[in-house]
Amino acid sequence: MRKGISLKVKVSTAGALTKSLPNGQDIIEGETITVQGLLERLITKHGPLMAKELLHQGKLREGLVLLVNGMNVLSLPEKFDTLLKDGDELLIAIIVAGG
Amino acid sequence: MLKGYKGRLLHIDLTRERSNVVQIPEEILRKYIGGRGLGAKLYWDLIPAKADPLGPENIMFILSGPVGGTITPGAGKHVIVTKSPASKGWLDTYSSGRMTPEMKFAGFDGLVITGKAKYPVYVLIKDEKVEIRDAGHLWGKGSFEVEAYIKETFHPECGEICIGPAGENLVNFACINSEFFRQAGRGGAGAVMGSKNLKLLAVKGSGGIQVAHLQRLLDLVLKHHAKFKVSPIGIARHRYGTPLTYNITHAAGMLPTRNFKTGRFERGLGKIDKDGVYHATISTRACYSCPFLACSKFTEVKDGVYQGAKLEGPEYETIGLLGSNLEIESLPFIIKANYLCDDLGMDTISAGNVIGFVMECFEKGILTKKETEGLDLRFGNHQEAITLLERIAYRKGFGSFCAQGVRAMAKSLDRGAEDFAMESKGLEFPAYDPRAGWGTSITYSVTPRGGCHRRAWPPMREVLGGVYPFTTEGKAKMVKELMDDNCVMHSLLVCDFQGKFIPLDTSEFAEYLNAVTGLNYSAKDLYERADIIETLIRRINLREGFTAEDDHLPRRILEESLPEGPPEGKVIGQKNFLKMRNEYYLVRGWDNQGIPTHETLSKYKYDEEPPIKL
Repeated sequence: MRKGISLKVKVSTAGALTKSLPNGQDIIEGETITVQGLLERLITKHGPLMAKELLHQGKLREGLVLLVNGMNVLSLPEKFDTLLKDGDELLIAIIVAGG
Repeated sequence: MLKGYKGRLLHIDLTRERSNVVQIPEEILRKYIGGRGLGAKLYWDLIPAKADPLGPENIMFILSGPVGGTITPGAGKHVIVTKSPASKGWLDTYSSGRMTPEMKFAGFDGLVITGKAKYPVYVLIKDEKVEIRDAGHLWGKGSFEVEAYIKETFHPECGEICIGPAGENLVNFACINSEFFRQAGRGGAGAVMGSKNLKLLAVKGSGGIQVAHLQRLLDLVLKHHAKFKVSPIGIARHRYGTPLTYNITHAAGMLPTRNFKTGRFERGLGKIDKDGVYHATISTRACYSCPFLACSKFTEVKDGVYQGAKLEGPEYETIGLLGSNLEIESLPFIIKANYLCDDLGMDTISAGNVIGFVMECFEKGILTKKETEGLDLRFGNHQEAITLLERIAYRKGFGSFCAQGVRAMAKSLDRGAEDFAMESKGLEFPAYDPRAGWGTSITYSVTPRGGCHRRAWPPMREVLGGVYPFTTEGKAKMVKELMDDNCVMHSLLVCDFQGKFIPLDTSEFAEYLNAVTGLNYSAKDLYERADIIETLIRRINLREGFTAEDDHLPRRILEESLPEGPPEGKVIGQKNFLKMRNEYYLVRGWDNQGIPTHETLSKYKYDEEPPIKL
């Protein structure tokens, strides 16, 4: 790991962010970061299109779900303030309904 | 008379080769709505307790809903209600196509099929005229050939249902096909149809449907179409269809893998998930009366051993059970196996469970090549899986053993096999492991038709909604709410997906019902009816001899943990399971043995209803 970088978080998508993250994957590197901080980093990195697809009035856009290592962020005790660890995986997905 | 409904059923007696019209009292339609609800009333009144599911005394009800055949979103569904050869109890199984509109255009809310034909027959219904014809030339044929035959010789826009060879051979999980690639898949309704010597039924009507408030109905459709067009959920659904679910369940650790031994299948990512199917897609198709989603994907295999295979699908459930559950990451195999199941007339969910169960038995040495007649049924061996599917449909040797379904196979094998037989009430599990969201353990156990994802879909709350998955707290109430939502949709007979993707809630569905029929129901009125319906279906199963012991799950689900992802190391346990189950009984107004209490029965006044007679 490069100097000054304490963690890498893998971001992938399922049905979401199709314009701002067309290949559906990204790696966010940094030091201590929360889930909310990571969303802000994604917007900084990918610009206004990401902001439009990801957030509405500062909150996760309706119809989207965010899983941290498979757990819904809303099920975690600290929710969007959850501190991420090196190797964590975020899935930003559209709400589905079975099959 | 209420608008939307026809107030009549067409009864066809295959034994006597006669038909007659049966009136449905308006008070029954007001109480039971239609679809599943009307099916419950008909089953209660007309199918004798302890009837042989494959005997002439069993009855098939093919039913529409009050909004069916109109422009209500997703109103192209029909339901087949009968006694299941898999569970030996209640079965409701759903499909889409032109059956519902054409039954209504012919003047009926549904069909009642009784008796057994002396020889293989097919039935043609043109308005009130019924013809029973010799099906000797169709018997033994695959579903696609039969469907093409009737569309060409009867009417290209008829509604039709038919069975493949698996239904003729009474395979326990034979399905009923409609409209090419659409199946009433679960619970073995195809075997019931086969037991009646009925290969095919088609209907064409020349009438219409009266709507109480046409402008209100048009306004609702336009409003919701506008809402859908900007919904990111709807747009993604249109683009990816149901395979998108794979990526969610994989992440959540609930994707069935190696016969539900694990809950993630990394090798499938990019191959059999949303991207795999998206890249194999050549076109899309919408159901009747769905101007919204067109979520069905046509796929084609362009090279390799399965080159040339084409399919409408595969849907997520098939990918989960015939893919990850068998540790097979080959989309071409899944397309080919799905096509075979459709043509032979077998449910892909149960078929995938049966093969997964066999593969685990093979791995454990409970089954060897001697019993499988030379088939090397290791996990991942897709070519042998194809061979087994064909042997099951034609009941050849070991295939006939597998045609019984997982419950009977496990019981026969013994040696601990029942611990990993993934079924409840004889119906094999869909593609969601209950250990990754404990609400699903209630759904799979208490659902009257057995292991079923369509009574309720708890991952909507436990994975997508932020409800903590690994607790018993609040789960019984949550499952009841989800079940009541679906009961309303399945009694109106609209597609589940409209509600979730437009999205629409129950009060909005009530608006559609009121616009079509002239009723003035609220969401509360509909929820009360959902409880009436689910309690009557409970009474049906109790009358068939079911007890609380039948609301159970295999040991693997209750006592083993999954090895990775969020559910890693977490065990539901018998105590937690029974707590949730008892709480579910309680919120339904049933006692601790799952028997509706005197107060509940008095409240719903079942005994004061007029019986329906044929």
